[in-house]
Amino acid sequence: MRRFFSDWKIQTKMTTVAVILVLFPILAISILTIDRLTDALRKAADADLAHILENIVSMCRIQHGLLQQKVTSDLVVARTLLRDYGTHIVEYPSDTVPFEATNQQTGETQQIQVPLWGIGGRPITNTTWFVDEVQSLIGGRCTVFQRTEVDTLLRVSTNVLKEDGTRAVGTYIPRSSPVVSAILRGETYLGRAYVVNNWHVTAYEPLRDRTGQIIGALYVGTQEQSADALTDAIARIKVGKTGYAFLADSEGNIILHPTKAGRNVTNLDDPLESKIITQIVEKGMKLSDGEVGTIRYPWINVELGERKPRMKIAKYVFYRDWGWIISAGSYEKEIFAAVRETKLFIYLVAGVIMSCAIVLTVLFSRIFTRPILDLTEITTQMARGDLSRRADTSGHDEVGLLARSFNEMARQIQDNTENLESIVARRTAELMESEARYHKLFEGSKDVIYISTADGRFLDVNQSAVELFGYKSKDELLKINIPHDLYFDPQDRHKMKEAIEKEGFVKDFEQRLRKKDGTEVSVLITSNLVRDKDGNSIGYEGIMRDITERKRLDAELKKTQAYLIQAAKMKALGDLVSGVAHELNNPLMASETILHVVRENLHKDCPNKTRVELAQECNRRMAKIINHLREFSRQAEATFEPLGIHVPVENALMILAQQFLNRNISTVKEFGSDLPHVLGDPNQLEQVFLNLISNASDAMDDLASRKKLTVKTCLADKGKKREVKVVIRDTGRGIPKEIIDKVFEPFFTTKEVGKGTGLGLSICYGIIQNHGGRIEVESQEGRGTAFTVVLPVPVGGHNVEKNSRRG
Amino acid sequence: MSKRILVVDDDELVLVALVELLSPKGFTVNTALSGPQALEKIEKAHFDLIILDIIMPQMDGYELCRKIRTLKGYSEIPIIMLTAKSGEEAEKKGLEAGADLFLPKPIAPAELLDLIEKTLKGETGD
Repeated sequence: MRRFFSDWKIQTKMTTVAVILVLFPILAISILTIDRLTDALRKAADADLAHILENIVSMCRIQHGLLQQKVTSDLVVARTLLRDYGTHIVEYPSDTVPFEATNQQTGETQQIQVPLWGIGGRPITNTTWFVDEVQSLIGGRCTVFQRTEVDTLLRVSTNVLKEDGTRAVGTYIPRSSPVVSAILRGETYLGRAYVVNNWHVTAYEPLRDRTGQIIGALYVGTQEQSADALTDAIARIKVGKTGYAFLADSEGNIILHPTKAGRNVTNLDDPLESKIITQIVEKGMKLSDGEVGTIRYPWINVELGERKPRMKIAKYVFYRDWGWIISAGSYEKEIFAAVRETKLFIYLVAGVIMSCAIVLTVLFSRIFTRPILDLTEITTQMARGDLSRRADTSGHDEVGLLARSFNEMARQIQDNTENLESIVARRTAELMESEARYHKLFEGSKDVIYISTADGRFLDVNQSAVELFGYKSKDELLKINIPHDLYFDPQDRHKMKEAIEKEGFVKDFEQRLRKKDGTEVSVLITSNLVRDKDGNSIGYEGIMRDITERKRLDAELKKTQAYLIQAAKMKALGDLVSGVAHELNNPLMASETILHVVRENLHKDCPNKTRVELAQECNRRMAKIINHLREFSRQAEATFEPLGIHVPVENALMILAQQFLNRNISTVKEFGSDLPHVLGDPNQLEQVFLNLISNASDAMDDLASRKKLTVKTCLADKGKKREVKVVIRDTGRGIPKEIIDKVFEPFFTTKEVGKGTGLGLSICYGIIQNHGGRIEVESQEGRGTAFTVVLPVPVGGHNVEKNSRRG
Repeated sequence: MSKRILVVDDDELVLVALVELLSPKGFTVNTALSGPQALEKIEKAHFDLIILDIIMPQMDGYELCRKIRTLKGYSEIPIIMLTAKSGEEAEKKGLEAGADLFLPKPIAPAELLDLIEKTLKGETGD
């Protein structure tokens, strides 16, 4: 209910409250007023109706009084006239007059005889002169009664007419009639009397003889209805609009009625009307004086063609003097028209007041809620972002107060918002700058920066990653399966993951990764764990540094370093050897010279001669060693000249030709044609080839067959860098893998003691290195060895060896 | 009359050996252990042939050779450089200093004798 009510707008609420506040009192007042007024008006209408009846009754009473007065005075006139004729009525007992006497009420007849009356000498019985004279004087009827023996009053002279128009002589009033009683008691009877066939206002006076005995009665009377003026007046009475008054006598004869006058209630055309009027008559007759009866009944006015009954109300009284039932009535509606009109008026007034109240309430609630609605509108606009709006603060009521508070709040909001906006703008700019900076850092980094999931997907990578791994786009790289596509062995990643999980990070973890094209790239990975807010690891972020080139350079540097170390070693060794050789030469020469002198001085057959010769042989070997050492130390002193490679090769082969023959070695020469000249020392190169070929020969020395020496020369053209290669291949026992790396080291030899100095290959190596070339060795155990001397062709070296040949 | 030969070497063993080799062949052999000592000996007596070592303390063979050549009567006297120092450059330097022969140590004694005799006869040195 509250919720329902709270859904209403204030205006509606105010209107509702106001309407309720106005409606209830007005309704209550209206209903009370109508109730009271209706009551009053009904009573008034009732009273009006009663008054109408009273008026009619009054009119009747007045008429009745007037008639009684008239009758009384008429009686005086008639009595006076009678006395004028004679003091008393004279009875002539001898003369009897017969009458066929008729009971005026029952109509029964009987033959009777009455004495003849006369006055002033003139007969009265069964004459008319007296009564007619009286009538001419008073205008009313007059009758002379004679008391019969059975105490009935017999009309013996009268001008009262019967229904048939004849005089009512011979009718009598039975003894039971109050008239007779009053007369017999000697009283004058005034009152209504049904005379022959009409009610009359009558006066009866006893007639006495000389003795004072009542012998008859004198009567004067006027028909009640003779007052036409009265009935006219009653007929003119209107009740309401269409209502009327009607009169009926106690016999049910309708005396006065707009349409039914003269008829009896028992034989009306409409049985309902008959019934109702009968009811009125019956009830009316039971009413006491001054009592008013009321009847309500539904009525269909057939004459007007009505179908629906309308309620009629009628009031009635009983006018006892005349035995009249006087009734007046009309349609209730007409009677209570005032009630209805009043009701209508009250309703109208209430309606107008309510309408006014509603309109005023609506207007006022509008006026009251207008500032609130304005405030709402402004709030809405502020909510939409127009913070500059302010409410109208002209009012000094609560709403005005609210508006001022609101404006204060709005101002603060605006201030705060502007402040906030400037802060946000600044922060946004800073963020964007920072973002741009980090983005630049991220994208601009030459190192790979990445974020990956634990299961092996990249979430983000920078451009360097795309370039490093050779993918077309970042999107393509983001789709790969890292362990599968980026690693040669997924286990490598697993190891790193374990390290990261254990320590939280790895630093400079070296990995071999696979590019898209399958080539290898070496990277150093520095990565740390990314955790979610619960501390679970969800991925990794880190950088990768491409160290492929560095590793290559490192390897090269190492090689160069080794090379330099080797060279320095060789130089130091050379210096050492040179010094040693030099120092050895003097004693060796002295020794040799002494031995020479000693041997010369010996006899031919001296056994010491061979001993000296042995010592000399020792000296020669020492000299040979020293010579080798000197050559070894002299490597740096080469003199370079352009020469065809075949010259030193051929010289070496020529020197060893006899040895090949002796050792049954076949030689194959595969010399390339048109080889360019190299820059070299002919003697040193000859020495190198001599050494290498001699070694090859030695390597095959212990073979029984299949001793084949191949010397091949060719040009290796590697773009700008051209090289001449000399390959010396034997079919000997080969060099074991374990020692192949050592063959160029000085003093390393596999030969029997005394057969090699261990300097040959190292000297060769030094010489060729000094020439800017290299010696490569390749060997298969049991299959043979190939030494390849590679010498660079100087740039622009076009001198082509013409005398090349194949062998 | 026997030819006089001066051998200059800082190594006494070499001097002893050469005296042993040359004396029996009829040469008068004098020795000096250094350059100054050699020059001293040359001043005192005349020599028909001088054998020089190169690497010596105080004064090396080249300098000694050049000095000898400046001495009166020694411009044409054969000078043989007998040295452990080898190489073309050394040889060239020796010849420029005025040596007639540049021989490496060790040299076969017979060969040395042969070359000495030939030099003395004027068969070598061009």
